[in-house]
Amino acid sequence: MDPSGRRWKRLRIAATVIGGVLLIVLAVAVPAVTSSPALAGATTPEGPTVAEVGDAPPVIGEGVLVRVVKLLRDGASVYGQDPFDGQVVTELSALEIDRAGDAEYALQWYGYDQAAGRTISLTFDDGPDPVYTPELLDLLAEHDVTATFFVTGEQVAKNPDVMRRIVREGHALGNHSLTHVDVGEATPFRSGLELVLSDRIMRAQTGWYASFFRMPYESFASSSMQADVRGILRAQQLGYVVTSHDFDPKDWAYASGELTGDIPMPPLGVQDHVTLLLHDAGGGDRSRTLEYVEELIPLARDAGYTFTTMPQVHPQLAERTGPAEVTGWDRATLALAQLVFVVPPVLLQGLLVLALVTMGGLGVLYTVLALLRARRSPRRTATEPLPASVLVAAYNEELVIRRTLQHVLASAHAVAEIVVVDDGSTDGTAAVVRDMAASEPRIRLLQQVNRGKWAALNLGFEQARQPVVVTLDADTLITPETIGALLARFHSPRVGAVAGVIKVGNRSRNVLTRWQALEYVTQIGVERAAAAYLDAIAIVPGACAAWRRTAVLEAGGYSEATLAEDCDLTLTLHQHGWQIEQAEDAVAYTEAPETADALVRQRVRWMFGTLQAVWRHRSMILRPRYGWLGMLVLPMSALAVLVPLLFTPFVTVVLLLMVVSGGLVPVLGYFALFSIFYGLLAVVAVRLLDERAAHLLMVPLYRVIFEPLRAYLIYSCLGSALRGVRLGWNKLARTAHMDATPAEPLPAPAVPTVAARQPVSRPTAVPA
Amino acid sequence: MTGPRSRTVLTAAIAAVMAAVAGLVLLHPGLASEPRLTVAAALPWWDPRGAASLQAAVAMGPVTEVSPVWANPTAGGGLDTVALSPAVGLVDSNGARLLPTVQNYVDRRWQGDLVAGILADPSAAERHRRIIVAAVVDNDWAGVDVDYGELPPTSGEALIAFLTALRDDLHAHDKVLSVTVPARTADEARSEVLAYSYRLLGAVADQLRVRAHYHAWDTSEPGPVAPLAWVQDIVRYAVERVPREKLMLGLATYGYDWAGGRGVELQTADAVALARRVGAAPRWDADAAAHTFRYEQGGEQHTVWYEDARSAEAKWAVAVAAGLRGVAVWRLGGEDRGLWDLAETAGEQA
Repeated sequence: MDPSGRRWKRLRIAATVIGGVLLIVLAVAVPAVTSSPALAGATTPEGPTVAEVGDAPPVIGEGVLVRVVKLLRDGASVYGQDPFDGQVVTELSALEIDRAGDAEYALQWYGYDQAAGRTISLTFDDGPDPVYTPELLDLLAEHDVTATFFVTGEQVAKNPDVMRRIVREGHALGNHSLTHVDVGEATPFRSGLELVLSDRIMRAQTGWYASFFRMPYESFASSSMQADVRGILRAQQLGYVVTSHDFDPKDWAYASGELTGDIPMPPLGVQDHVTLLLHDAGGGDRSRTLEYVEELIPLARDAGYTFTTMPQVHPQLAERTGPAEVTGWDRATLALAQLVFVVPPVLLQGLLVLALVTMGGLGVLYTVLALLRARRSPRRTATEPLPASVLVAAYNEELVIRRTLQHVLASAHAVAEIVVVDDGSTDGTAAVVRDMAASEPRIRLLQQVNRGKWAALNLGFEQARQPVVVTLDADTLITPETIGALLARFHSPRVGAVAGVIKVGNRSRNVLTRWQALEYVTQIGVERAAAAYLDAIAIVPGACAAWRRTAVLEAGGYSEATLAEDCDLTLTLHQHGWQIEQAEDAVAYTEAPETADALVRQRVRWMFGTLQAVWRHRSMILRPRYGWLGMLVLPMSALAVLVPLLFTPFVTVVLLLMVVSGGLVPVLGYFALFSIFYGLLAVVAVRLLDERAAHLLMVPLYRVIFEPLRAYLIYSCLGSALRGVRLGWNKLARTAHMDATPAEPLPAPAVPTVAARQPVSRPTAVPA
Repeated sequence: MTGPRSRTVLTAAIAAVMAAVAGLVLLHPGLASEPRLTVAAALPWWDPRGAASLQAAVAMGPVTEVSPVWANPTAGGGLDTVALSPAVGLVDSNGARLLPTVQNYVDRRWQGDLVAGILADPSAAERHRRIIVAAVVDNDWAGVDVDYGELPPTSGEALIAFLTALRDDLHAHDKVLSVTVPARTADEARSEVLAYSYRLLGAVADQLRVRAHYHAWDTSEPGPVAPLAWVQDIVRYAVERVPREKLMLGLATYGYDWAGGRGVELQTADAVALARRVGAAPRWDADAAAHTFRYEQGGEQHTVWYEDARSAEAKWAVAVAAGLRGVAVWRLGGEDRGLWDLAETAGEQA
């Protein structure tokens, strides 16, 4: 099966069917989950808009519960009616009638209907907290006090044990929205969602329900309530009673240091019924609140107060709380909340550890191996270099072919022949080569109708007359030592191919070429060197390599089955038992893409081709027969694609949330950690390849370019595979820009003024 | 993607969608079965013709619920009850269920304040509830119908609390709670009906009978008790607040003979007999879907409006068209027997 092949059709059909079923499930589940359980199956009633109620409706009544009422006038009487269920809930007193004027709606305080003697209700918002709520529960249990906890769905999902304890110890629960949203500001959709989801999470987590709500950020001042009409209306519409408080000591402000001194005590003795607003969670040290409660309990009892839960003094709340019949939708909501609030931090931590361990572990392993390989001395070399043919496949290379061949001719190790295969060029490539061949008999020109680079190379391998074939790209410039170094590595008859070292010739052009230069250095200097130590080189780049001709012919030559014909051929050689080597001193300079567009096109082809090749040779994966290649290098190359494929969207979202909630610092911290790891790797690579230290300047920028590029590549490859589209042979516009390199043996040839188009070859063994 | 391939994918997706929709429709309770209209009939103790009417109605088949008027509440939460007519023995044998009515219509008026007093006093309300539940359980009735009219506006919350507790007690014994409420067409209404939140009552009660025939009464101007347009308004208001499968539309079998600002209640049979006696020709008022005639007696001008089977037919059709649970006929005794044929025909004409 080939990722671009026809059998992907089945996968696409399966994906479409699964997508369709998911859509249907969503169409059923979304209305079911978002309908208010407090309405007990009734349809959501119509009611007045915020505009109809007005900015500043008259405020009537007394108590700690609040609602919007519609004013109905009947003769001298004025009744307040719940605008959603049509229930008349109050008759206005003469004073209230006066205050209401001709308003159509009013805000009504009510409650304490069942309060006798003196009562005090402690209420705790924003929890539960995994640390302070248990301490608070200990304190309350010690003094035999029950309280009311207005919990957020998020905290409920995160702290199941604390929730169970609150219920077990006889405290009352209340709804405080899912994420502590300001319902006075939020859209009706959002506030509805916050209320309903939080309700379902509470039901599923505790088996209890509480259809009453305290608005986050509320205060019991009339002006605050008037500003919260939007939220009050929404809660009422969905069947929730809105509860407030009548004493706010602002414990949170003392915890944060905004207020100093003693937290004020409620007006004991002045007010017969007190509902006290406190916080058992919500950031900061809550021990001040605990001390306050400990101090208050004896004071209040001495003043004759009984501690109550809110439902104990408000029958309207008592009839809205109790054991719940937990539905499947409730459980689904809880599972979803756990997925959003609980799993991500854990999963993210896991992923980060995994990433650090794999990156760090592999980095250290590769570095050690590369160092071991470098110290292994004397390096085994062939006593007598095999005679070699140089093979260059060319398509429309008129502008650069002469310069390339001149470099070959200047090689210190005299080559026996130079075979140039012209793949049906439409420019003067053949003429240039023929012209050079006239004065240099070692140059042979072969011509074929345009069939592609793989076919041109195969023709060259067939026609070459020497036992070793050195392949070079038409735009690759070699040093006088390159060919000799390549040939020296054929130290044993088991060596089937030798990879050269590709360097970026146009490094100083811009940030992208500098980035690529650094990437080539680390990939070749450390990772491929380590692979070479383990005899596990997965890709011998055709741009600069030497091949045992019989080994290639026996393997069937290059194939067009993948977009990465050199990787494919390398893996085939491994399967045939050949050893693959790397020659650090065989350097060739290539021209790297200079624009993001060209880079992306090149990398899509590499990644897709590499995936195709790995897939084609998947029988090698986890086969001890193939040594480290099968057991480590190939599985890692698969994981390097699969893990980011699955988790990039998740990590992106979580990182964005981290930036929103915690600022840039923690994200930059992780970023720095990864960069330091990479930097260490780069230092070793630069030392081993004897490269200039200037490469290291790019280290901090490395991941900034690498991460988005990798994400793009992975998904565009997935898209291509799913669409079943065969990637074309993306062609790269060459600029013929080459930095002057000290290693360059010849005066730089004249730089062509017109950009030529030629087939893109793979200059290095870098899997994207 | 090529044409045939995308067509295959599309076909598969459409097939999956259709299969899922079909599954949902088939599995959804109630969608596949044909609903049967519930027909309730009230049986008064004060009209001796009731028993015979019940016999006829049950024999003709359509009546599925019978509500004999059984008790009045008394101050403190007690009940003033009457013995049920032996005719109700017919009910069980015909598969209909018995839901006796407790009603606060005493001495020709609705005793709203009396009931509000009971509901406002927790101990009285509890006593009231226990007595009702005990009677239902002891007599093994199917349930009870609560018909408390003209409660003061602010007693609605207490009514809901009372009915909720009553419903829970009845359900504990597998009995049902039926509630009869006055007609409303808007949230803003005359104070006599403000206490009745259709939305809350519809949530509490197992079924809600709407008394859609109080548009005219003994001391009102002469007119039809249930003009058709008004009935339609009531249904429109109610279905937005009460689940249709709980909602029953009240049908009248009576009218009034008004003279000198005072009306005397007449059953259909009485009105027809009166017209014959005074030689009047009743006129059919199509807008009201009611009959009317005038006559003079003792120097006084009388105006009569009354409902018969033809009136009921028009309103029955409204109930069927709105997909309601059924109709509640007020009352047996002197009704137009043509009424009992409507169960067969009204649905077809809707």
